[in-house]
Amino acid sequence: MRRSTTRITAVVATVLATGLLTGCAEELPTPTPEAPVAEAVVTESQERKILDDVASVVGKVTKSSEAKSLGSRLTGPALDIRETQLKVAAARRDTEPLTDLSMTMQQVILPSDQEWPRSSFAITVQPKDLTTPVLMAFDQATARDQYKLWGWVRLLPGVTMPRFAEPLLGSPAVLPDDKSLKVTPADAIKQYASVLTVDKSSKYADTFTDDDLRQFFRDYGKLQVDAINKEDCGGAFKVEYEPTKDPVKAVRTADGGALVMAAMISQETITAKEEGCEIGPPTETTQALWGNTTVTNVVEVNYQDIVAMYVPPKESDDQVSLVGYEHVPSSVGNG
Amino acid sequence: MVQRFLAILLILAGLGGVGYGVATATVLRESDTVVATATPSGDGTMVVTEPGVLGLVDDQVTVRATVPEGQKVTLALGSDVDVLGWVGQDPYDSVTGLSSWETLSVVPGAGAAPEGEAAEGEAAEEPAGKPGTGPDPAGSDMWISEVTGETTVQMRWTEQPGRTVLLAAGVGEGAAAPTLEFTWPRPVNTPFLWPGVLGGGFLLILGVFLAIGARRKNRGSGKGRSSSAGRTRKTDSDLSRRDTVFEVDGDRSSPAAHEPPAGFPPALGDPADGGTAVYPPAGRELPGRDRPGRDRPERGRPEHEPVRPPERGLPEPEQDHTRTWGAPAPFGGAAPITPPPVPEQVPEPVSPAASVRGIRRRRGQAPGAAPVPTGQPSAERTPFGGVAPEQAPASPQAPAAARAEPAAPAASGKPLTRREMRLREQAQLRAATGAMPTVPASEPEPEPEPETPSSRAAAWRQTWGVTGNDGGNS
Repeated sequence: MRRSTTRITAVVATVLATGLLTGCAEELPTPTPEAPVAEAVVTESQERKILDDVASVVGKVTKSSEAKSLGSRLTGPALDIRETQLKVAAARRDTEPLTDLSMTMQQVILPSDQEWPRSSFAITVQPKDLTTPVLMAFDQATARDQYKLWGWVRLLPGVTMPRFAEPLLGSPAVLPDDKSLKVTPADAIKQYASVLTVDKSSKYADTFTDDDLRQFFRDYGKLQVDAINKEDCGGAFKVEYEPTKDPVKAVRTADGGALVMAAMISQETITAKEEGCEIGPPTETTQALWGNTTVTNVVEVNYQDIVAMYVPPKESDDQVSLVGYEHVPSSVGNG
Repeated sequence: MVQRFLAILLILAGLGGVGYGVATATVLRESDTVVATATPSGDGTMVVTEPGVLGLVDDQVTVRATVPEGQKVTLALGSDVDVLGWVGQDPYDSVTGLSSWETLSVVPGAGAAPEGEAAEGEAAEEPAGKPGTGPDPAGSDMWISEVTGETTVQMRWTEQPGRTVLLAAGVGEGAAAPTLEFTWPRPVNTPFLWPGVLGGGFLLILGVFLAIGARRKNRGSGKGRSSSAGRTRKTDSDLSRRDTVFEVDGDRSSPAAHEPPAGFPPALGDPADGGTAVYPPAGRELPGRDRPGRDRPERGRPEHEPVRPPERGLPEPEQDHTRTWGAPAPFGGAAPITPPPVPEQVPEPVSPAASVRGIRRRRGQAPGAAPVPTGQPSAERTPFGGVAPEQAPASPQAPAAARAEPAAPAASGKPLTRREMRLREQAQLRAATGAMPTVPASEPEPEPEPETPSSRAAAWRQTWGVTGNDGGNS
């Protein structure tokens, strides 16, 4: 009897004690953050929203007078060029000069770098006017800035774009002086400006593949010269390229190369050398810009340019190749 | 007394346990939400949570930010990198976790501390220059979601992969860092409900049994161990089956009838123990009674033990002790007293009680005695074992059939007729093909042996030439 009593008492005491004690103890949870992982700093859904916002701003501004509001979502070369296009469009009284910047994207290239400035890129689907798709670059200068359209180029017809990392992972930016490339991005632009200016005479000509832009100037220059020579006016054509001070944007491609985008300015000069010859602006756009300028034997057309090129990694045998460009006349003069 | 006390204790503990268990699920049940407040301490206008704080208690959180009346406040969710990048060098408060279930710990922003002593200096001066101009994070592309409002804003968030943090900012002139209130739903489990109820219930039942036991005992002691009488009944009934001798005694009515003369009205007063009343007289005679009991037990043992002992367990051990004490008595002076009553009582009603007791004792002693009885049954079974060998060989061939024939034991022992054999073979075949498994079971007379473990064991032994009875028992 006693023994069983003791035993039962012990059991009862244990049960009660356990119950009460465990009832009192509930630990405070502590934060268990996920470990940082390498991934894009902009998610695709965020990018979608950014694109919508930018497209909305761009889409609303169709008049030069409204150009100021572009500043909220455009910056750098893109802002300059768009303002120019608006101006030209106003002069021509049509919208042809306005690049279609509707932002339905077939591919986005998102940044993986956590620091600012951050850059992302995107490639549109082919526009309705059957021009080639547009490669756009976006820039977030500081954390408290918004993403803004920094620049765009129309891709060359039939161009093959390099491959990029998955949007989920993001693609790292490439510094302007990155040495892992055949040519640093900054140098690539300088050298390409030289090539565009003097074409095959450039000492950098071998670095670059021949491309549509170079061919365009050959054809265009020949066309102008021929037209002038037809009148025996001694036609001459010259184009000069020069990088702007805008920073070069570059993003790493999957093969270790880089996609480089940079702004340039260019000036083409058409001259009728023979005395007494006068020439006027050659194109519809330049005519619209010409205004009341006195006609002389010289026509100078200033352009704002953006070029995008693929720079292969250092060990590659490939040449630097142009993937797209934008070449927008901004002003015309008589020299 | 001790037993009653213990019973009461157990009942109380049981009730307490049940009550506590229920209470934990009702009155004491914790709130379904955890509401914790973060009160900013620094002079910044922003509060940032550390990664993991939002999902501290649950995947879902509701955050309410409050600033002084009329001021603007913005809540924004973003990755920690984005948020801290946005905050930059401005002073801010960091919410690092719970300091209690109601309070969140807030410390000056860690990000700015190391690299930012200088920067903090600037920051401290700058705000001083333009006091409390809170930058507005609203509208940034980086936010996963955001909300802006006056005085109080609230936002809900559901945990997603990533290091998401919250930025709360007082905005505008004279802005102050908002006070944050986090509300998480909390899965409230009631771990003590069922343990409490079940454990308490168990204790309660235990206590009730003890109480009943104690009550009977008390009655018994009051009237002369009526409790034993109560149990006696059952044993009597059992006994009656086996022993004609006991049958006679077993009629309680007769003992009662005999004993009323003993004149124990109180005993009669107990309705339940109509039979018990018989014993009180014995109670008087207790000293003598015990001895006769002992004497009887000896008789009873050989006959009853084999069958009963294993069945009865708990109630009797208590009595055993007393009886074991009693047992020595016979050797002592008590013995002389006993003999006289024995002869007299044997024929009479008293004896049944004594005999019953004897049986109980054995049962009480059962721990020691038990093995013996079990041994006997096994011995009885051995005959099956003898039969088994014949069938045993068959069973290995068709184990499935053997299993299918559980019904067989009932029919066991009968030799199989040809027809039965045939049926059985067919059944086995069917079993082998997996068709109509039910048939074998329905068979009236399969072999009894295969089913009982002992017979299987015996068969095995025979097969392998092992001699001897069940190893353990023998």
